[in-house]
Amino acid sequence: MGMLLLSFLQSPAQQLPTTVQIRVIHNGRQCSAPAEITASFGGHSLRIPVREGKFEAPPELVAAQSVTVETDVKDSHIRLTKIAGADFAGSWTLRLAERADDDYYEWPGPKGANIAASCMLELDNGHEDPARVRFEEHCRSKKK
Amino acid sequence: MIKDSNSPTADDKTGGFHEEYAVAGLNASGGWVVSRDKPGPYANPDTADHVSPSGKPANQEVANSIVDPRVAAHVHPSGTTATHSWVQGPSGADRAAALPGQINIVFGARDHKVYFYNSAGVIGKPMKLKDFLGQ
Repeated sequence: MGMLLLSFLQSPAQQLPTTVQIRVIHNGRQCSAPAEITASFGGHSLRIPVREGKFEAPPELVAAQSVTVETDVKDSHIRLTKIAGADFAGSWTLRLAERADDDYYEWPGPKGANIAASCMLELDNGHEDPARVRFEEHCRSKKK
Repeated sequence: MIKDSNSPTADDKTGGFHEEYAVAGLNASGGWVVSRDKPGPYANPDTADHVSPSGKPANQEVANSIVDPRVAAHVHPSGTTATHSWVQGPSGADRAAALPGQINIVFGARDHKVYFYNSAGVIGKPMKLKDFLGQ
């Protein structure tokens, strides 16, 4: 009876992992997706492999309110903060650039932003329109 | 439509934070008719996860007169905050909702590009708005 009640209380989103497709575009050109990401939330971290540009987000990650994602792309270390667990769905496009340029970025970000140290993450969960763009400064540093 | 999306409405005080939507098609006499919707509601990309069209025709009679819809178009708003904006091209949801046999268009209000798409994605390269308008 308890198990039955528990299964009713869990929403489908809590029960199922989601698959996220990740693309990385640097200076307007697509480059290799990272080999793995590290997702930190609720006081613990998960290392998640990326295979053929896709990774699987477990239910506890999708249910998290705020997630920090770290990964390495080319010679950069990327640290994206405050991503909602619900955003782990559909496709992500991570845009990196050395300078603001219409062809590189959807928009140049806040005035005076250090573009070379910034990231733009396009979040397209496949069922909301339009997709959203998230700009984060100080998210990109030299890989150690 | 882009100009309207960038213009203030009752709840979008600055403009740039709402969608505009239109359908074009043939009426019973075979003439072209364009039916615009009322502006969609305000949506701030910092807090909202999508922007909706209103779903309410500006003129119901005009909307009802279209018997053969051929083109569906909507605007992806230009508005940005310090940290968020809306992607200008078609989303996965747009592709999923694209109807075969119909011309599906997204106008990027910020990048001034016109995206033709179907369920498989963007068709060709996006067109510059000024070329689309023949300017």
